[in-house]
Amino acid sequence: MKKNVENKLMVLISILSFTIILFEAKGTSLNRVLDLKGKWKFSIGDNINWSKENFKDADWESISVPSPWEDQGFYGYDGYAWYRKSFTLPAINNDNKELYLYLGYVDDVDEVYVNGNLVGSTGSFPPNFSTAYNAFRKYYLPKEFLRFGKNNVISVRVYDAQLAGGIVSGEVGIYVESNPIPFEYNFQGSWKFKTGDNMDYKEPLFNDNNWHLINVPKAWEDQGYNDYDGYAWYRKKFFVSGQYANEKVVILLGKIDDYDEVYLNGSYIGPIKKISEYIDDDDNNRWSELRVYYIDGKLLQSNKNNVLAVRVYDKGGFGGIYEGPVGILKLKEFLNYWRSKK
Amino acid sequence: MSIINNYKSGCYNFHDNFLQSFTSHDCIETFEYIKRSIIAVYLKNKLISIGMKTKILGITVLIMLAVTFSGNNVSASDYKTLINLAGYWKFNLGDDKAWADPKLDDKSWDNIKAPGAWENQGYIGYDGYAWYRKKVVIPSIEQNRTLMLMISNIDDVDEVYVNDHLIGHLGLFPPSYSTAYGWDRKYYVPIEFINQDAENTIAVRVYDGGGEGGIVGDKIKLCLDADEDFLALNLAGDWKFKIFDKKSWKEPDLDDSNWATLEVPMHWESQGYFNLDGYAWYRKSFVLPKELENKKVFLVLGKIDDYDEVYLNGKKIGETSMLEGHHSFFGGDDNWWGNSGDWQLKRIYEIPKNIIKNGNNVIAVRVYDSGQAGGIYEGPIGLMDEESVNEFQKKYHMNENIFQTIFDFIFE
Repeated sequence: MKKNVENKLMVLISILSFTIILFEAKGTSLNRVLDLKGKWKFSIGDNINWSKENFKDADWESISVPSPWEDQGFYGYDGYAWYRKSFTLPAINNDNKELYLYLGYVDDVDEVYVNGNLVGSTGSFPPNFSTAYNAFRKYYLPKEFLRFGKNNVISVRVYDAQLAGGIVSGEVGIYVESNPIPFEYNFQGSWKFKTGDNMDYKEPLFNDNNWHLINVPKAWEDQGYNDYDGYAWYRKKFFVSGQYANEKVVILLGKIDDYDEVYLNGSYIGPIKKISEYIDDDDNNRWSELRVYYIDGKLLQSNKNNVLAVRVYDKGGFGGIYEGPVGILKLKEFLNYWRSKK
Repeated sequence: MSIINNYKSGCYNFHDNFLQSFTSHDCIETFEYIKRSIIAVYLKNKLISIGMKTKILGITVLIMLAVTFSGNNVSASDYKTLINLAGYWKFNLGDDKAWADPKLDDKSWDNIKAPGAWENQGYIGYDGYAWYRKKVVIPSIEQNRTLMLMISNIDDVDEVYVNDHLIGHLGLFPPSYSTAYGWDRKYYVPIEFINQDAENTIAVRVYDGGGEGGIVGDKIKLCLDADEDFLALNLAGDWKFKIFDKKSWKEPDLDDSNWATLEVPMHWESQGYFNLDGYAWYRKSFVLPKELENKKVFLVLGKIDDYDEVYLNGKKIGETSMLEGHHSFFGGDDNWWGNSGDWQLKRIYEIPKNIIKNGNNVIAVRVYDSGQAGGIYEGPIGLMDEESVNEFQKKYHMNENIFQTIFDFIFE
């Protein structure tokens, strides 16, 4: 009898925990505003002009997304191909919202343009080919690239090394997040990335033109750097307008696996402990901590390009800036946001 | 036994999960609670004569319960709250010594609650420097009263300014960073720094080395010590202080003018001697008040961490081992510094008539601190006549008597 009561209690506790987990999951999920599954325009080959919004794709093949191109008449084709999709974006009220493109799973590498603007890339194209076929594609769509209530064009450059290729499976559509952190500049999307370590990489004028692109936030293992452990650097140029000289400013860098050092325009902004100290302490929890750096607005150059350089050390397993939120905003706006949430 | 022996060290042991969240003040309160709980067990056991095993089990359970439910009990000292400073404070990230200035315009600063970690008030993941400021009208304070600022506690390092005067600090700021998280802040506030019946500015500089930060714990308040009512002469305030140990430092005619000045009562860690363990001497001269002349006089030195020998005019008048409660607490350890309960005994020493003089007298106190906080850290400090000392002892005697009985009983 007593045992029975205990069992019932266990079941109750389990149900409660699951409810809590579900609630949490629901709190962070996004709502779909447009389903983009269905017929897309398609062409094999590779031409950067195909990213442009006014390119005439009327004579391209029609293909189903998501589905391997091998199943749709391109049997045995490996190499480059492009997908294009024209669509009308609903005229939603986009105040206080952020938009994302879900592109399911792409086999092996892709690069995505919206109305001619690069929004992200996953995996690595030849000559340094690296597949990311098992990474779900979620791209941040800056609002300034979009036309609400009007026609928009998505172009996807894909490279497949072998076997099935293309946008093969998963959810494809445009999703909206309500009440996100009101960033002045959202750091989600393409960053420059290089494995290895060199302190010159923190310098704002360092030439990173030949660096690879990487999507943030997402573990580098999902982006062509399988099993890479050790040092790597992220760099991001960003532009802010407005006055910051007398402001306190917050930089969020989400979660980073394992340790990081952050430089803004060449100046060190955090954290308090350097990577070497974390290594010495063998800190095993740092990867789960949200990175929030509080800086003096004087470090920012208004109406100019600013450079954020992040030195990362991964001691094993997944690595890199793997989870958001990432962006910059004034402290008072961050506090308002935080307090309104509370 | 181990819980009891850990009682003091646990207060300052940051890595001890079990006691991690307890400040020393909590410990004192906890101890009061344990004390009461144990009385209950003791009486119960006497009545029904259950076996020793059950007794120990019962005590253990009650100690666990006491530790769990502590926090709402009487304090071992009688500090009366003058002003509760809990509530909204002005708050700003960064570090600038100019922020201690009462004239600073802090209107643009944020408002956050203290006590309460700043992480829970929007400053997620912030480590580093921040300042708190609060303006407060302090009423006029009777002469010869000691004002104390009590904060429990600060994560990790702090400096406290009253009207731009540094009154106390604990822990070490970078580059030689050392946390003082978990330590009770008990700062002596010199009355001459206070604007009585007027506005005062309290500024707290805080450095957080990781995890949660800020003024945390459960209290921040200005207090007066009600036990100073018993004093005929209050000797709190500036004392002469010197570290290390020399027999000759007890002599009344010693020139101590080049010694450091320390506030009493306040841990020496809060006055620039962080991490100091071992020997140090305090000296203070006083003029015997007329009304005490030719009377039996007692020197009261509050509480001292950990052990003291007290000299008046070069003659020894007392030491910790003479105090009531010294041996019976933890079963007479021959090493006098091993008596881990001594740091919380009230120091009351009768001054032999042939030693005290009308006119000028010199007190010299040799102190040994075996670890963590040290020094003359809690009042009342001064002289009492026989009548007052009896009342003072009576006020606490009940508790301590039962306390002894219980511990004798447990460790019989």
